[in-house]
Amino acid sequence: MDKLQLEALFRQHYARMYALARTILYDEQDSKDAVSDVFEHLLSAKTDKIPDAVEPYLMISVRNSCLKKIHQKEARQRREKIYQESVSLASTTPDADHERLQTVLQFAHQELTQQELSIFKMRFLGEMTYPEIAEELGISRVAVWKHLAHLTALMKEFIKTAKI
Amino acid sequence: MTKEIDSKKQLKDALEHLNDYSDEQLEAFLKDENPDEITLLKRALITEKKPENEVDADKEWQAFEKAHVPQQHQSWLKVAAIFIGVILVATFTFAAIKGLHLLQQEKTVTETTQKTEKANKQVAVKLPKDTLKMTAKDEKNVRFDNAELQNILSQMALYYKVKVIYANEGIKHIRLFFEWNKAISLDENISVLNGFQKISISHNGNTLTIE
Repeated sequence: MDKLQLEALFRQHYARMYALARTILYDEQDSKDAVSDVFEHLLSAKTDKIPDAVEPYLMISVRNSCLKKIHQKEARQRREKIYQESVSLASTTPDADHERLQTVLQFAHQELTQQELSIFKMRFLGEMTYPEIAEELGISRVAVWKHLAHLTALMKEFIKTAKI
Repeated sequence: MTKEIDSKKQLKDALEHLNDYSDEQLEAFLKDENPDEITLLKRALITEKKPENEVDADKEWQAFEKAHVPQQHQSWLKVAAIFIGVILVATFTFAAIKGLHLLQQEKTVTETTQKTEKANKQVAVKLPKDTLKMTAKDEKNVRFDNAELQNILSQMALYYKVKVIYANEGIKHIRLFFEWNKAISLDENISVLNGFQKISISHNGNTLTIE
């Protein structure tokens, strides 16, 4: 693919592609690498032909690039549970997946307590340990775990009833 | 199945004696029971942070360009360097032939000259008309001036014993100026040809694919 054509695509779609990668891989650098892989592939491809619907094509390419990374990771770390979610992710379109995440978000804000959400974010997005969270909130580490257990139980029920 | 029962039993026990379990064990109970729920909520909460605003596409493009996009001016410099090199070689060759010619005149050795002329004639017969004949000593370089790509590649294919496959008919008729240096490898010549924007040649085994 021609450099100018690639640059135009890159500037126009990079941010959205990166955002999608972040929701799948979480890690900033892994997400950038996944998007970069897509453009690198386009650059080395011996054709200028990409489908008319460029954005869906690029988004699916990013999703596939992320899934590839997860599977590589899975091979290395058998206990990595994101693999399981990736199986259902592969069978949906990026748009449908985005809609699904918005439904989960809506549920989280309506049905979970502020404290449960904060603890979840500290543990799973901020990578804080149980004692660190306990100290920050002035509660015991067992209480931290109980909040998380309650939250995940509610989520489980929601996924089951909402069939998402 | 036994493993599952053990895990449930362990979880029940854990709920009764949470303080006896380490953070890692507690986390394992949580993740083993609810892997999808945790992942899904993590993903949903990340969309809320609007990650698209975290990155600067311009900055990322510059980094990508530096790492992956071949620098065009460098390839032109390479082409220019090759061109200058070829001119220098041609000049020296011309001077050498001139000197040789003078010596030959003095010695009036006509037989060798006749043989060389005969050889030159044979080469001229074989080459298409858009191929410029080089000096006798400069047989390592063949200059194509406004020549069709198919002419250039058919000669190169014959020389390097490879097959040429064109992606479409139009590519065959692209015209270009090219100096084929037989002294360097096929791949080195291909990389010079790939410097032309409209051409992409890949070399795989005994086949050249032109796109």
